[in-house]
Amino acid sequence: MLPNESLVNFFFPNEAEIHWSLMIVIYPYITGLVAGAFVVSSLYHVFQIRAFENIARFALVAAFSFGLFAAVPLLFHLGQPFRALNIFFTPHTTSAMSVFGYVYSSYMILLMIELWLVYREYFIQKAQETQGIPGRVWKILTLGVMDYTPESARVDHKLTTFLAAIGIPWACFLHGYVGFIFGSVKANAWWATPLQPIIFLMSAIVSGIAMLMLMYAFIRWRTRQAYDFPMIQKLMGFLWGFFIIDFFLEGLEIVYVAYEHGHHWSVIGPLLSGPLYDTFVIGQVLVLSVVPFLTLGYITIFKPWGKGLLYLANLASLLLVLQVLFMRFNVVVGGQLISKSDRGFTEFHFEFLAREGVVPAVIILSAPFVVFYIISRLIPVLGDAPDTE
Amino acid sequence: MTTQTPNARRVFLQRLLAGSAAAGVFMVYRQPVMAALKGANETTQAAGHDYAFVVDISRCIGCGQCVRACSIENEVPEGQYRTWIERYVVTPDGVHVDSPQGGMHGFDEVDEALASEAINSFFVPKLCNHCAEAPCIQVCPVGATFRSPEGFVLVDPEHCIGCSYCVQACPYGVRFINREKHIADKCTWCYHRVSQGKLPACVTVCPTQARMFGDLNDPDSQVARVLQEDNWDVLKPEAHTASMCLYLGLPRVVV
Amino acid sequence: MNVSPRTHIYRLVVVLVVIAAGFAALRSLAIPDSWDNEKFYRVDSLDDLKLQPLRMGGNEACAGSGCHEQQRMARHKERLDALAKGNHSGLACENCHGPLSDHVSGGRRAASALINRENTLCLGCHGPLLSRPKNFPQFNAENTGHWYFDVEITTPCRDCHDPHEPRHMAAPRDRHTLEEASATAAAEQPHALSEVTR
Repeated sequence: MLPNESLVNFFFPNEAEIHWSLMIVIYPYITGLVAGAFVVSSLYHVFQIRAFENIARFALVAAFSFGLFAAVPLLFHLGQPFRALNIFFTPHTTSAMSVFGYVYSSYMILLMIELWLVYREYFIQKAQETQGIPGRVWKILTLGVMDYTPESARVDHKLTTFLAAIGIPWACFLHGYVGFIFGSVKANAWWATPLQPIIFLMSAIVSGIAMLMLMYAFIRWRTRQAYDFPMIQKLMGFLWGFFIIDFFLEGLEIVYVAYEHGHHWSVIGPLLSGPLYDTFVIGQVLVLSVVPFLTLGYITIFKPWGKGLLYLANLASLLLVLQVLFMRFNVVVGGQLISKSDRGFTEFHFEFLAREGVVPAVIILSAPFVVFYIISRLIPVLGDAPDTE
Repeated sequence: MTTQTPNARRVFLQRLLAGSAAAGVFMVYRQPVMAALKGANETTQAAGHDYAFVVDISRCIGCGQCVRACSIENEVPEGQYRTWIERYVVTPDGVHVDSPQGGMHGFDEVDEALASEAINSFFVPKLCNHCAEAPCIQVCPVGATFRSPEGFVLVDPEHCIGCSYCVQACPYGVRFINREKHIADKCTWCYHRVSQGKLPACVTVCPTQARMFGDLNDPDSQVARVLQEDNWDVLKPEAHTASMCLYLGLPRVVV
Repeated sequence: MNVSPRTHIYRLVVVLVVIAAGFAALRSLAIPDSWDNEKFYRVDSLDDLKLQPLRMGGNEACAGSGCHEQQRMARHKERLDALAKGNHSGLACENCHGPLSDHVSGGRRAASALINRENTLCLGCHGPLLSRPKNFPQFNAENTGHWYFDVEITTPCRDCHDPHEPRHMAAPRDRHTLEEASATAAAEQPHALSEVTR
């Protein structure tokens, strides 16, 4: 069905090309994982949720690994990537996008300081043990202070708590501004809603928690270590809670637009029943939202244990990790399918080896896991010693 | 290192810290201080012009000369358009809109079935509206797009990073990323021509004067008269872009 | 060695300040000199944009340009005079003859100006289309002149119409004048005579 009584599908001549493609789909996805993982770490450091004590460091390292690659999709996307630093030199503050440079770098610095404080004791120990060039590297990481005194540990603890606390609003800003980038574009009916920043943020937290669950389960399986079932239970509880808010907000937005039955619905209705039916209605909502919603509800209410808990938690987490990816795709690409002529839709075509193709996207999405693996061989992430197996 | 006394090392670090802080502060304020010392930036154009564009729907014959002239004048890549023509055919059942290659090579006649249903049909030239409250300027993250003192919305070709945010924000779909230059591109009202006292290329070649360009501050100009007669419309007025492209005889179905 | 419990923090702060200062220096050097912080753009870009070369000259470039006053190009002056008199006076020379930059380069003639004698040129504007304004002259095979002389859409327009003064008809094919034709048509043609155009 075509919008606004159009007899043929029409879009403006310049709309034949979709400008924000896979790279802009995965960019908010990656920063979302950063924000989500950081929130889990802060749930321990700030809100003292004991169940997450053993995964707090793991969550920080994961956040850092994802964070290292957050800017990469943007560099692939820019028409002039060598001018990317302009965003630091002349940030135009009326533009939500202008804050990216400073918010992202300051957040990464905060994350690195947090990691440094958490691992300082280990760095000192390694600096004292190792010789030669590796020994020098460890020594640099200690900044020359080779004593880990109880007083300095207390100083670290206070600073860690403080950073974890301001890190939460900072992570919210790092990801919320992305939602604002979309939500503030009045020219795009699918994007423009004041709910966009909070929808993006909630789904970011969902993706972060779910991804941590999958990583945790995979690492424990590979290293043949015991699973911390109480932690998994608690984690899934939080996942369900955040997902309820996320799902509710996404649904509310559509209910509002449909009820208002105004200009926005005149193009969004045909969009959802037309080009976006498969990826949104069937994919994002029916398969990837309803099923994990029920699964997590079951986990939280009936509290299964052992293998059962593990499989259900992994199932829910896998579906949600995909749900958030689908959501990013449906928002970013879906919005651009609507022609600003209000009289038709453009088409999106996946490319494979091009700059914004599937292959580079998969590589960029995989890179954080490679980095995480390398880091886990050097410092203890999920235990007392690094995984040297 | 260990032979230095702790005091000397501390003093060194303190001096390093103080020096860096001072250098940092100086560097942050260098540019505005230097600019103030040099005197205010002189505007390079004679002040006082306020340009606008008028499109008269009742005169457009859809010949496509404007699209061709613009493409030649501005070396627009094939398949991308700084201006284009749309054809509307209004029937009781709905609206048929098309723009084959932007109208660059004119239009073939609509098929008979559609023609027999038509209650109204016309051409609509489209181009950048050079809005006085342009959403594209608002969203540019690096200040690469801006409005000149005389009302031209332009893109700085050296500063644009090609992020496409402006393309997304434009309600009229007039922007694109130039396939050859990899920066944002759009109609410039032929700034390079107007600054030499000529008219935009599309206005120059339009055989029926469907396109007009002029200075609102010049009471003798056509555009000033049109503005005053208050018989004009803009595209998407609900977007509140303060569009400076005034349409005469704009039918309600046009978006 | 005695260090305070906060020494490592102080050293971290030093590192951060050095990085910040270095960055501030880089930023200061990178911001363009002509940057207007209030309007937020690089003012020198206006000068850059003015340097774009012109391709279309406009009619002022063709008439009285000093190029076509020679004897060899006297026909050109005739065309310009004819143009000024007729219905095509509002047209740009470059509409039909191509852009100036194809013809002239660096102040000298680069190639002949385009001369297109095909119907497609005329029909580009005058071909009948539903969407064209009703008061715009569009080719109609059934109007008096075209009907009388059996003119089809494929008949060369230039057989009768001078592109520079289109209402000034050249001698028609079978040597009748248009006046004679109108008189004959009045007798023979059942349609209204006043309909010369659609």
